[in-house]
Amino acid sequence: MTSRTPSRPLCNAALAIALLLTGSHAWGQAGGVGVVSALPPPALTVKRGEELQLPLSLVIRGGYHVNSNKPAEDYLIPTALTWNTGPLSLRGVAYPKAETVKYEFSAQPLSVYSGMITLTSRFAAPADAPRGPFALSGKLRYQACTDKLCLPPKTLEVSVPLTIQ
Amino acid sequence: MKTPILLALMVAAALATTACSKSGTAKAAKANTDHKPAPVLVLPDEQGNTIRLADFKGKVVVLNFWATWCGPCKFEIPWLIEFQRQYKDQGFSVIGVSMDEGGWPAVRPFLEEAKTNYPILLGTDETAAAFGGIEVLPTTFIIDRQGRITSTHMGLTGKDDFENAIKAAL
Repeated sequence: MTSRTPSRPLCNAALAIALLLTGSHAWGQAGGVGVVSALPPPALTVKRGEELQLPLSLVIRGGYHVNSNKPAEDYLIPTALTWNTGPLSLRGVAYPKAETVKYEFSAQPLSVYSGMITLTSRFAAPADAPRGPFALSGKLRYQACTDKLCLPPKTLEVSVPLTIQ
Repeated sequence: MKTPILLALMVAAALATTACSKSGTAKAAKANTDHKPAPVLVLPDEQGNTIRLADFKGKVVVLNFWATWCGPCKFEIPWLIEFQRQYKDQGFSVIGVSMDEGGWPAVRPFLEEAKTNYPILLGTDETAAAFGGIEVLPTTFIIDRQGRITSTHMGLTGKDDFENAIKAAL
């Protein structure tokens, strides 16, 4: 069985569209375009005294992987999402199930993410939280490699607008 | 109405780029550098000694940029140790430049385990900029006896490719 890879011009066009579209939002990469892009979530609201689930979908550029939140080797830099929660309190971040992949450069299979993944964060809005709009700001720390090379660790900054009712 | 269409376009474009696995941008590469003189490099080693690339003029140098978090870099290091042992008497030296942000506390444990037999220096952003940015690791420059870069290897390089480049420079 063989698999087909899209042609180079198609790939370049798709990448250009993806970068153009992600660049048109407030979802950007600190220090330039990186390997990981975040897709904007739907408009979110949370009522005082209730919980909010925030899915953050990330696209990892083709051919690259990032280490999972729990890498197989101590020397690897884990993917980690942190939030400046404002009036909310963070209940936890659920990371997706990692792939286990054996690369030529590693004696052991590694625990990685590739393609499109979703990290789900849970927040609680205190009963006395101020009503109105505000932005949750987050930082995704990751380090990407292919099977041949690695890129320096990067931080993707995200900003999620939401309303407390 | 506009937002769902935009979102769908973004997802489609993003997934298309994901499907373009290994189509070229992520591959290792080798570049000839027209025998340009190597930039000035002055960095400290683990003992605090100042090491200058200029001091190695007259030797063939393999200048290897790496980091402890870089699997492909660590895969090459036993080869570099072997080359250092095999060719050092012919006027040859490997120089490793670690780009670890954590400095010596991050690098030292790995060096003790790997038993490197060549100088390891701690790189800076300025070092990287002088050598064209060092956007990927490993990046390795082969430098001839006149201090000119004869080839640049970005990404995991075959051991034979390295050795052939070294022999050609020797």
